[in-house]
Amino acid sequence: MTTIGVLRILLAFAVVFALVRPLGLFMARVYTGERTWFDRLLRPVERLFYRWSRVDPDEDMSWQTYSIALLLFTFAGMLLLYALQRTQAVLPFNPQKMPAVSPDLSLNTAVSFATNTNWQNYGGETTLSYFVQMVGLTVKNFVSAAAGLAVMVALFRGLTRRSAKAIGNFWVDLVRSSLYILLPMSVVLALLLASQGVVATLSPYKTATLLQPVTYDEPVTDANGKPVLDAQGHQKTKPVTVTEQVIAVGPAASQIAIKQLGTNGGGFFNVNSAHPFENPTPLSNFLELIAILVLPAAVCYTFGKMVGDTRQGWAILAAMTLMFLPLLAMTEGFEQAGNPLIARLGVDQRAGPAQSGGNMEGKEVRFGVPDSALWATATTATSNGSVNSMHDSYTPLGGMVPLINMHLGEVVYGGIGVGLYDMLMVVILAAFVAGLMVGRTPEYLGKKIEAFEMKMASVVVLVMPLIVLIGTAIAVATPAGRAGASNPGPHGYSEILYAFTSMGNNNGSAFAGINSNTPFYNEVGAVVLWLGRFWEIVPVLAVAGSMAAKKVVPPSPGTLPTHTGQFILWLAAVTVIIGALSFLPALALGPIVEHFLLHAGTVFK
Amino acid sequence: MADVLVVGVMVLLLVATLVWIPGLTRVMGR
Repeated sequence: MTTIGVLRILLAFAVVFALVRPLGLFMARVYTGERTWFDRLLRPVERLFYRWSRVDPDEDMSWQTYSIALLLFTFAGMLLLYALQRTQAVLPFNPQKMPAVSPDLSLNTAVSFATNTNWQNYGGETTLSYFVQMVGLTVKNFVSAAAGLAVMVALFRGLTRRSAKAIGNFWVDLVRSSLYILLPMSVVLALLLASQGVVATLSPYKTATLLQPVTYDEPVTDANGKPVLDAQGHQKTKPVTVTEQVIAVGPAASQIAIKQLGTNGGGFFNVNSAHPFENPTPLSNFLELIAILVLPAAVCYTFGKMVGDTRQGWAILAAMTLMFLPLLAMTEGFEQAGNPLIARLGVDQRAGPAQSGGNMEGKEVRFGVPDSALWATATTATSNGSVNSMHDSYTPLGGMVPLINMHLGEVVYGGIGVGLYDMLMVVILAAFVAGLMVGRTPEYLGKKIEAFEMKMASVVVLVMPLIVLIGTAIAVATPAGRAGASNPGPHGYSEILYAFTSMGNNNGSAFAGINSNTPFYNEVGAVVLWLGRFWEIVPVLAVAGSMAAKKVVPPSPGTLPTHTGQFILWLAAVTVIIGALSFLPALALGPIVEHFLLHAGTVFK
Repeated sequence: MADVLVVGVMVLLLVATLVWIPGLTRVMGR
């Protein structure tokens, strides 16, 4: 790792950790209904929402009612997003005259954005109108992120309330998350990004005349879009000379801000934050990176504050960081080391004044290895899914780290709300197992952990590996699934595994090599996306409801402390063990075997 | 026709999850 790379990482962490306490404190005030800076401006707007929608903000919901409200709200939004895509040709703000999106792609995109995944089987600038990007996707970015925060806060209440039947009001949590937290932060970030050159316009795309016409060979296809082959079976090509370039623009800055803050990750443009209009400068890259990490980290402090013991929040944040740093070092190390086969050709891959060195395939020269590897680690650890480099082009083990981040259940910071409530399920498992091992009462924050909570936490931990591995197995066993992979051998398998891992974890980042805009991936993917989100949320809310009903047991000599260094290490170990038991065999078939074959000089053509 | 099928899939996903709530609690002993 280079010195400048280390300094950049240290700076990013310093900024994120400096923001954890003030931001976490602010969010705790928002969720406990205390006064905040924005009250004078936003409280009337909040009341107006409740009046219009006939919501009683004082109504307390059982976990079942809370779950049903969340599901019906998400379902309605999903239907609306589907309808918007199918009718975009007749809707306004469509200067490029984009036609209606196909039914299977509309389904995948609607479920993807409803589940805070933002897996993108479409290219933003070639598929969607400004109207759909703004009214459909950006709105979904806000409300799906707010829904994750709402579930998290409901779980906090479950852990703190005594002998209660309710865990809060979903509508209030949703509105307050959007209005007081996500909206103000997004406005500030959007303006900062626009100042750096992220585009924000409703103008049509621009056409530029090239200073030097470019001639290239274009693949020939028939009327059905299928390749036309020559006598040797190779695809025919024809020379094409290009004299003009269409430059896509649009209302991107506002969408990029919430895409990062809401750990959504869906890019306005196809190549996401590798696009110069979505992430133009080193400063915009830094700001977007901070936006990816800051809220998932800050909610740990919110948790500590709301349960009345900030040490509990710091302990979880420490366990997350303990797992994040070695994974980051792995990505940076493997990418900076470069490709051994290229080194054998005599190519210098060392970092120096003239080049960033390392494996630069699929990376922007302006970001180099350090900023690309840091982003790749952060975006997969946090359930964000935006990319500033193409993960498919990483070295086998460098590319394995994003997979590991997701296989750990995205609890290493994780998505906003989602990461922490999933981590709290692991905490319950860890506290239970530790309690049994040393003969102490299994309890957490004074609440006894009993069979029901253990079963629900186990369901949360098992649902994701099940859907990821079953989805991958179906894909590699069927021609339709295998057809998506653009590489043969273990790398092709990694592409398929990555796709289902990303969808099943609601991450949304792509290995980029796979062609997943097919009816198979759109339809199977939609099911995986939905189950990955809501079949986890329901048991989490069940734990919230169950814990809320319990009495608090005062601490005794038999109480296992859950804020100590020992528990932090134990929590990290349990997280890693669960991930390894679930996914190590799958990783062995993909990136691990590819790494050894690469060093042995074996390539697949 | 395709739109009807897609909306049908969405409804199925919703129903599968709504059933998941009582189903899960019953199986898990509540």
